[in-house]
Amino acid sequence: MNSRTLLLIPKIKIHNANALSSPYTIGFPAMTAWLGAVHALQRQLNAIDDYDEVRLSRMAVISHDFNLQTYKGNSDYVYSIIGTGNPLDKNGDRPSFIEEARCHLTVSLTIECEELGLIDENEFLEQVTKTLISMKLAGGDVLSMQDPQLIPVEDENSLKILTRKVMPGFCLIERRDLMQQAMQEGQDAIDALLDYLSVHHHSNQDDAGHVTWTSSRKTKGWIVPIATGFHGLNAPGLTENQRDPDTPHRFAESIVTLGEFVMPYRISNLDNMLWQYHADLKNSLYLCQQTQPITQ
Amino acid sequence: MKWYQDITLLPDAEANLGFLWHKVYQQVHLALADNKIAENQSAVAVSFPGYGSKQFPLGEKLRLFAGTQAQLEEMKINQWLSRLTDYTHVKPIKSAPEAINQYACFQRKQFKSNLLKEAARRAQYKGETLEAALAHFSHYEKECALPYINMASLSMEDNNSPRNFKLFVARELFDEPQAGPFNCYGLSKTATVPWF
Amino acid sequence: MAKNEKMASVLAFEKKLVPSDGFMYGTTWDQRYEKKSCSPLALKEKSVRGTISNRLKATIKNDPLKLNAEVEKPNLQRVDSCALGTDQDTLKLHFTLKVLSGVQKPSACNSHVFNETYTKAANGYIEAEGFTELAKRYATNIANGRFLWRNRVGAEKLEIQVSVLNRLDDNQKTWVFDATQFKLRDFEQSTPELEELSTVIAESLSGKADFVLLEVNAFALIGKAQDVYPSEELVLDKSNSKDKRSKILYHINNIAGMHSQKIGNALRTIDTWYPEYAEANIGPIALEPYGAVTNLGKAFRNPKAKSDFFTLFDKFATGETLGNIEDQHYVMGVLVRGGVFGESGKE
Repeated sequence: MNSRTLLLIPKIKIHNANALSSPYTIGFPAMTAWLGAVHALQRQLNAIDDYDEVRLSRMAVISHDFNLQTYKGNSDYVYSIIGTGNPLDKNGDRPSFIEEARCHLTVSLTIECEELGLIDENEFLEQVTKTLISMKLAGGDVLSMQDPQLIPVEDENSLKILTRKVMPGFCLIERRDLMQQAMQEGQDAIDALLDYLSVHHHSNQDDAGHVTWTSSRKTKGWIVPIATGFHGLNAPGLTENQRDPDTPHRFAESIVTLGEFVMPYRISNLDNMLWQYHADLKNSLYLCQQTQPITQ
Repeated sequence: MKWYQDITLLPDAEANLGFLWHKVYQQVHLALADNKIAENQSAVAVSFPGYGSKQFPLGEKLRLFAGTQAQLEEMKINQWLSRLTDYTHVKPIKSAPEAINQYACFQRKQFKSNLLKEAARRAQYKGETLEAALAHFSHYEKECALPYINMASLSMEDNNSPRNFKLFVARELFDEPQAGPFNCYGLSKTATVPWF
Repeated sequence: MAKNEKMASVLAFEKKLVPSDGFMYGTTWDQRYEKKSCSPLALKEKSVRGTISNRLKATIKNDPLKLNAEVEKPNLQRVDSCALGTDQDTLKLHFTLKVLSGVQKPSACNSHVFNETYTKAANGYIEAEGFTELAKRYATNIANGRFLWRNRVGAEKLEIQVSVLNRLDDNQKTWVFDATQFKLRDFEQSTPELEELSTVIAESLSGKADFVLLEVNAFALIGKAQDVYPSEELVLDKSNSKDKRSKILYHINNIAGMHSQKIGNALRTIDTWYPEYAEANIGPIALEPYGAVTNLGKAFRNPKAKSDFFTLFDKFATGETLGNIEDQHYVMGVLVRGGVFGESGKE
């Protein structure tokens, strides 16, 4: 393995992040939010002379604490979203509520740095802190973080040094393979997704007539639905009031697949935890995907 | 009741009048109790000049009344309200206007909060229908609409938290002053204060 | 494209004063500096007897069975509550506050022309004013403990400790304020400590110094076992089940909490420049685009009176001079608050 440089930003506390990861899932913020934040960080660093070549090409996200702002009363069947009071409108009336799922979370980011060049490490890390603390991550406020550090990874041993630093925690990896398998067996996408998420209860009656109940999921592991990108719906073009007048605009829908939270110590190949952008323009797909899926 | 002193409540965006009445009256009650002239009897009485106001049923002013200027001075209400200086404005002691046409009796009203239960009990006791019992209690509905102040009793209950209750205040107007004692809430069953 | 080249249809600003949630602890006044005498305050569920409406529905009144069932109903309501322990007389509220620069740069803007004129105007304000007036008011709202909201009312003693978390050695500083010395209704008082805190905030807002991370510890002596007031949660789709709670309070991992939004709202309650300030007699209001005060259900800065943010901002950002400096403070204060202010989002 070549030596690669990983920027570790440990224990970033984020407040009121967007938990509406896709139009129909709430939970851990979408992968697009994390890769987007790292890309934004790179662009801000690139604006500084010393770091104008730096590429933050791949990243991993490790969740240490996750607090979804929902409420469930004693005998409620479902959870309700906890809203925020919005300021009154110009007539002094309450505007209608917009359901926005929020979460507070603590994550570590490990980011692969390329083209670092000859830099003063401490100055660079200080700049990363300064930049990141003034950014929003996944729509939330960065409240605090531990000092970032640069860690060279060249073999399994040095990878262990890195993964130990992000324990205890859970690293998010993609489990697209589960979807593919189920769909090859004839299920449609939503059935395949739900089949892995639903808890099945089974009863067993022994010879004496005693009934025991067991609950299980289709497969082991902490499987969750995750949003990993967008599917373009129209040709890129110009739209009224688009956000950036110099970049073509395209309407898109979210892509949702399955992911798994795994303990970092179980990762034996750095590329099994890293994510990167992948654009499949022929199929109008803009994806965040793993550098090397864990199943390969 | 020739002398009076006005206390204006200053609500802000969060501490609304209801909450301020609760905090202010608690202190006023302590001040009256501390200056009592006999068991549960106060020389100083209260009035609510804004009683019945549309914005807030008790208004935003508390008026203290006493027979002499010294009685009000001795109470040192400013000190009792010192921790509420951001939320109250205490005016100087003044003498009441000469020409008073009306007198107000501010009286505490106590009643049961669960009328249905009361009615059921009465129905069983008297052997009447529940309907009739409810009719008997019908005038209580009006009293439920009386203005009240949330109070916390200072004696702790067995679970170590103060008991909260509502102090309902009724007002009756008279053409002539009526005499009688005032309790340590500054209220009276019979006695009046000048109404202006 | 924006209809008017000079205006931006997409325009957003990120907030520059970023408070965390407030965490609530119980302690005693004498031992308030000792960490081990502080214990987190948990929420308690209380059942209270509701004042039931005695006006019965005709259907119930006329049906003896239903009527009996109604009578038996205890009409209990469940509410969350929170109080100090019987051996505690002091509430401690802890939060952090991050102060950032960069108000001259919108986080999203789709008009180059607008961006240029706005940045020029904002830089002009920063150069001329250096955020000193706004910073002094924000600092006052830390020192007076306004962020304690109801917990402040009737407190016998109030002390606020502020320290800088992210600066090294020589710049590390702790200030202690007696909150009762700072009024809620105006921003006239000053002390050397307050000046120092204001300067730190002003320099961070204007970019003269790096961002600053402040830690705030507030102590309120309110008496043994007294009620305290955490934030209330806004739960949508409340169920109708019988044991639902009618008041749900905020907690973070079982520690009673104050929402960051609520702390932010207190810190920016500095607007004394709205037209009705003198008559309304409610003191400063929070900086909001329409001067809205939620509890009063009223917006004090009406577009009709041309005192709202959008009217003033459109002038300010396109290079027109605003009539008075107070309007400039107000506009810049709303930008520090942040929000989405695009042309198309207005109507």
